[in-house]
Amino acid sequence: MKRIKREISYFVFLIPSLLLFVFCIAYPFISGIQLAFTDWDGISRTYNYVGFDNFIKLLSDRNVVQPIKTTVIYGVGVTALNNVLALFLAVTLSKKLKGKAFFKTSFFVPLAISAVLASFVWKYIDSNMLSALFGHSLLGKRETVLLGIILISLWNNLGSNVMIYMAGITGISKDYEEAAMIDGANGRQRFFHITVPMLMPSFTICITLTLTASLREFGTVLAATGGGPAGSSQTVAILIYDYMFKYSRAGYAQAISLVFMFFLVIIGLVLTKFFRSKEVEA
Amino acid sequence: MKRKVLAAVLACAMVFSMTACGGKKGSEETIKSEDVSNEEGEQVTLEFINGSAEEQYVAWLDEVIEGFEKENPNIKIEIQKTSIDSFNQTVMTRFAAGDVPDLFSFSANDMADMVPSGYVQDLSDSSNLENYSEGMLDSFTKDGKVYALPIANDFMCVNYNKTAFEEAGIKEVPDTWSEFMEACEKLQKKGIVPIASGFSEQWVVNGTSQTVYCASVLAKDGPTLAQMVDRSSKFAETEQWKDFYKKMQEMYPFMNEDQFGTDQNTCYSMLANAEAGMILNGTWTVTNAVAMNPDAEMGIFALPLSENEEENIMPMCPPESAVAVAAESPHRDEAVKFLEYMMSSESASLYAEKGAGIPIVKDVDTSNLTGAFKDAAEIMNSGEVKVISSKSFPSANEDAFINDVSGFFLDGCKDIDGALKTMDTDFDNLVK
Repeated sequence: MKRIKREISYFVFLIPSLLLFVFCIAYPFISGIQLAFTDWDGISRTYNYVGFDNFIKLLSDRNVVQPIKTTVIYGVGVTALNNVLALFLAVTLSKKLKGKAFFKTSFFVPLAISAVLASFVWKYIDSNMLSALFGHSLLGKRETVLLGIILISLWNNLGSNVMIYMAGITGISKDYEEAAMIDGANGRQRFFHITVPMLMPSFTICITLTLTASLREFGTVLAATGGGPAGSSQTVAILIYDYMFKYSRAGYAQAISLVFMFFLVIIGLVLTKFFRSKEVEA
Repeated sequence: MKRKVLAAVLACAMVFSMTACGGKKGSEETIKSEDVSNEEGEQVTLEFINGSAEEQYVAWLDEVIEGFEKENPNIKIEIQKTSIDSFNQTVMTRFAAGDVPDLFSFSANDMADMVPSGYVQDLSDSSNLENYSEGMLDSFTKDGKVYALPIANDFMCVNYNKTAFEEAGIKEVPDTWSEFMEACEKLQKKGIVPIASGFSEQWVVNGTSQTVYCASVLAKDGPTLAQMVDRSSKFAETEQWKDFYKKMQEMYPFMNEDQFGTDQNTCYSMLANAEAGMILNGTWTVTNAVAMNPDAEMGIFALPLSENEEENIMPMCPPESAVAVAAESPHRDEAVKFLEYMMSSESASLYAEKGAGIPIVKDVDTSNLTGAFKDAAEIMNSGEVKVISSKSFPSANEDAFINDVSGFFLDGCKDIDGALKTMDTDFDNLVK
């Protein structure tokens, strides 16, 4: 009896955040699902149910091909570059280094800047400085626009992954490293056989979160290029936004976003499961 | 045990304080939307969602509101500023939620969605309708009823810097296409960018295209844009659209480098400081350029696409933007009263004086206008204007159009036939 009472008192602490979650996220989400089966235009107070029409239309929509390509390239590119760079910086910063605090702070500061502001700053740099350097701005060309946006996103978001990796590295006991050194393992061997396996929990978090977040990318792209030039940087999130607010086809937009969310959940689950299976007990 | 009970109580208190907060906010909102009219008898506050953030417009609006509030001490006007990007979203959400503003900026595009939904007040009885010339309210009229009143009209033209033209030795505004090309060459020789294009913003691609197709298609008896959208006309089979691309191709060498990496603000500043000669876009370009350099001497002229001088008169659509009253507003009469005051001839004169734009209300005193406003007033007075059908595609087609024209430019303006074909395929795909 006493135990039950104690456990109930634990649950009481959950109530505030649970209420927030239910009313701000779960309820609106669930009540919005039905819109995917309607022809709602986003403004009128009535709409008709059209069954699976929106989903069938989606299968033959030529407009979604380019955004899917862009999203995948962008998502994979950002995830790979972000994690490799973050890991490199984390390992470097974990060593004894002069001015370590300064570098740590400078990698972390851009994180405090919103995606929109970062895009504006970089747009300016791009059209005034990078264009002088390369003879052409990165964002103004179909071939390089994604690279430009990836750069902005890297600069903006790198800090959080650096921090997570650094925390992970700090958590690895020095004993392993020392033991390996005594056994004659060189730096590279120590990195791949001690640091990397011991960091698996950090990989799980960083890679999964970076990938799902970058696949959903909206703000940076919208502020930097609005999907241009010639639609070459339009992501799925922007496509959904266009259908929802610009083309007044909210029902269809909801259908795309449901399918999109389904894929994101699958990707997230698979990745987490994969990395969890690689994690080692310390 | 005691501590646990205390913890539970505290947690509950936290939850309640949260809900209490929420409740309070809600009731405040209801008071605001119903206003204080019930308590004091006549004090009314009208909410006006304004989508235009242009400095001169805001300055004019402030002065109009001041004048109106002086005449009607019981009515207060409260402006809600919304950036143009989130404007549709804000207004749409407010209407869908039933939390309607009293007055709101209204675009001709909204006619199709908002009028059938019954959100917009019918203004057909207003005495202000007499102040507009024939055809100027067409874009806000449906089944013989008028739903919104405009103050000014923007049209697509060549916006130029008179100083830059003088420096390049261009004495007269070009009247024919060959004169126009000659002017471009003269500017380029002087090291001045002939045509500044900030294509990194998609609306600019559209604006420049509109300037060209208003003159090459709509003013030359080509098919209307609606005919292109419903596919009764094809781009590839229309001589005027072929001409549109041809003119773009001929102008391309005279544009700045890296158009898609340049934003329009940079172009405004180039134009204002005579580093660029022209911008092909709406008349608002002048206002924006003057804001960058108040001493800039600006002017406008019709893009002369034809070799025949007489054909090159200013094409003009009925206005696109106006202000409307919400049919569901609890203070509809007061809102209409303010709208009528806002669109009166006196306010229109003030509008021109403030340099906010070119008023289309009759009896406007244009004597103290200068620069481009004078050019515009002279065009208006001379009546050398060709009224054309709507210059705007529906937004889905517009985006496809912008993408295709951008693609044409990015590929160096080479393949006209290919561009026409792409446009046809994309427009075909949009027919549901």
